[in-house]
Amino acid sequence: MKRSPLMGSCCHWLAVLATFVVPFVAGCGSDNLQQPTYPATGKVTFGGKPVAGAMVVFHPVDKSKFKWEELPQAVTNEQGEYSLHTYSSNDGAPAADYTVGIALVPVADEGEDQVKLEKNRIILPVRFADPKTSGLTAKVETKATVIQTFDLPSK
Amino acid sequence: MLRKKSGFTLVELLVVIAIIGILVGLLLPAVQAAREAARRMSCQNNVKQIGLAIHNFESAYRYLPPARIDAAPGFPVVEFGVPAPPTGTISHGPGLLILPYLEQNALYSAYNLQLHWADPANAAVIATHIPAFICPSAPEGKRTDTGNAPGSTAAPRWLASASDYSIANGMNGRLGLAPLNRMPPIPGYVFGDPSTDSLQYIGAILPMSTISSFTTGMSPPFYNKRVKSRFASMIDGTSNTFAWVEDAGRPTLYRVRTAIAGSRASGAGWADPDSEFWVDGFTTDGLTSLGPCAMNCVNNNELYSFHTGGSMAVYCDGSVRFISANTSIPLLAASVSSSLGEIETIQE
Repeated sequence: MKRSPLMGSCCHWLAVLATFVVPFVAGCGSDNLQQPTYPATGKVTFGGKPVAGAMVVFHPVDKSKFKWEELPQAVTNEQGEYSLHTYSSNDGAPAADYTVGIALVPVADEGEDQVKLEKNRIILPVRFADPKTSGLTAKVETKATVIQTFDLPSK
Repeated sequence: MLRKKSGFTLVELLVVIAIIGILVGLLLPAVQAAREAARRMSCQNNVKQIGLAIHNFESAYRYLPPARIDAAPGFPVVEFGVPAPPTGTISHGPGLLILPYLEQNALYSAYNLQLHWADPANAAVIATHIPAFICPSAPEGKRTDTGNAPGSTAAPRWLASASDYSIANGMNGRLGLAPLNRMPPIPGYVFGDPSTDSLQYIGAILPMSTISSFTTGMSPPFYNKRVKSRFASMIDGTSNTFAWVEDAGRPTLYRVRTAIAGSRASGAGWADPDSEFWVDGFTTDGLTSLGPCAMNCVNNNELYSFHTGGSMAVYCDGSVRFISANTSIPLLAASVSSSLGEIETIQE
């Protein structure tokens, strides 16, 4: 006796069903709402001397495309050099025009060590902290960018 | 008469095996998710127990259990019978005072409040693992932090059992200042002026500390003031202010989800006075402080948990909520601070 044609088509349909289920199981891709970033590095000096441990924060001139947390920032190393961070380590910044604020801040908050750290700290004038009064601007282009050195006048 | 052929064809068998494979593939992640959900629930239960413990403490003492206790030369903490030491401080951590309310009365009785927390006489107590302080989602389970005895760099080193929960009782005020401007500035805060550095977003559960730098900047070093944290001073409302939060995984340092070998996240022990912390905010890689990430980026004295998408917190009203990892710095500051007039609530 021949097998019932119904039986054959049942298995066939199951196989077809399986092929459709698999992509669903594989899951949905996550929405990537991050702006493309381009590596951006630079240097901070104060009266010609490199400033270590300075927080450099880039504020976009046109804020419409930026979410609040998209504020490229970096801390300078012993040579006064920094590499901007927006979403992940040293990923740079979205291409845009920026105003820049620079201030010395403790890198880590560790109780008594912080007190010592603050006592040995050189003081940068407060006006450089606020991008509105610092007079510092920068442009990140759609390629790896070296920002011009910010030489803060000591007087 | 033809005999009916019984059995399955190879194709049928393969199809059945494929379907079973797909079903198992569907099931396994669900099982793993269910296990994590159970761990999370257990973790939530721990946080709730701590919340109940601080409320029971409050019923007995009329103020909340302090974030830490410090007695300094000339300044004893008479409330808990902590004498003034000739030099240094006698300090106690946040977990100790709620022990009687976590059914750990025997342990509490074995601890000597007249001695420093890391004194050898307290060694057995501070090394005891307390289930309510350990989040099952934290990968290493029971952990022990170690350090040098007070005023010494030599052995014997103390061993302290870790807690995945602690107190976030402040928010770094620099986050509100130029060049960051990540949250509303605090009135009167001058950047780089040490005398205004105390103007943080102050939280609910404060240290009962005679070390003035914890509450009023850096000098004088000690003073005779013992802050008592009361519900009445939380003008933002107890349901909008954190009591205890998660900072899981200490003393192992974790950045994002990676354990950093050879590094230590300080203040792990439940008996360690350095357990409480101020939130700084970190960059998303967990490397630099004062960034936009409110939690789950680094566990060194920040909000951190091993749950997907957020962390547990018990509020001062005793409610436990799961705080989303996408919480912004201003919203977090509103929940940390107890008396700045913001009543925003973090969405779960």
